[in-house]
Amino acid sequence: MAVSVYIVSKAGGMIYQYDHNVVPIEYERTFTYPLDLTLDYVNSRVTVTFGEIDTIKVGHIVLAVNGNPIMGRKMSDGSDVFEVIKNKENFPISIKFGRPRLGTNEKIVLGQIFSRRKAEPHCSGIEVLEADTFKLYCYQTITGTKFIVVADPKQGGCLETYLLKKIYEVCEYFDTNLQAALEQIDKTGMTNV
Amino acid sequence: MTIYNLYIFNAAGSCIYYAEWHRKRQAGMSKDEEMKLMYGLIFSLKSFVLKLSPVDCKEGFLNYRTSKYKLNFYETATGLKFIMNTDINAMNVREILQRIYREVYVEYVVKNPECKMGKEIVSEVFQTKLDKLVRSFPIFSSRIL
Repeated sequence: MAVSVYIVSKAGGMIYQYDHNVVPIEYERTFTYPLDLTLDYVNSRVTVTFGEIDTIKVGHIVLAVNGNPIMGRKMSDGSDVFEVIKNKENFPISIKFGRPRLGTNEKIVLGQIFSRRKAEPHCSGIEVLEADTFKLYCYQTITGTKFIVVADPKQGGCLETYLLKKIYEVCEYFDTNLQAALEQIDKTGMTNV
Repeated sequence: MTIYNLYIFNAAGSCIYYAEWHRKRQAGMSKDEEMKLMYGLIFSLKSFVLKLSPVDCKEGFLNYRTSKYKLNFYETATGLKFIMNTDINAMNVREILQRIYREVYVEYVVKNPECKMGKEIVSEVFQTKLDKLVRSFPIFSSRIL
């Protein structure tokens, strides 16, 4: 069960973020020539774009080749990953795949995606968002700060609502400090509290 | 319980069909603009969900809920998108959307040679069949709460 907490300011800036119990998804596998997967260079990462084997899924990125971690599309010795996998002499080759994890910048961008659509009058923004792998709960205070919890979809709904209220209470408790910190952040856009 | 409205988008992102039943508040913009905004919302929510998910997604985004309404989303493998706004207590709207796709869209659009794929649906028979099916669901009630 993974739970993440996000606190987003009125202006959409990420004030605080915390991941609880996140298990990284990583798999290593040895391949023979030719490679059964299609790899492509997407968003400055070497990504699987076609072909799923066992636990390796489309969207996973290459983390290491033969135990050498890769940066962008370059290996630590400076050679290009695509050149390496094209060359038959380098096989059998061991490649480590993993699900891409969110960087701080990406988290900040995600914090801003909270828009509204209204079919009925006097409506709030998104309160619960459901996907097949997680549920997202959002609690917006009167002052506009949003408390967001991402949790397992099987979890009971009332627990999250309780958790959200509790987080809000904790923040209220540290009111003076938090207030000053929040104001500072609203002005400067800092992300570490 | 009510069903507010239904949007159908094709894979390219243009709205091929729109229907509304109990919609009390209009968006205050042209239909064209509203469709673009709606598609943009769905598009960004989809990528948002894909990135935020702690494990690999199968279906991805399913629905979201506000204090007043619930937006339900169903995408077919061909990229056709069905979006239905209902009240917040409506359950299993996904099945309804699948039935609309299977029993109305496939039957009266795909199997109709007069309907051009990826173009706006103007077929009257589609319209009546869809309306009949939606009105037959228990969550559809003419009583506005």
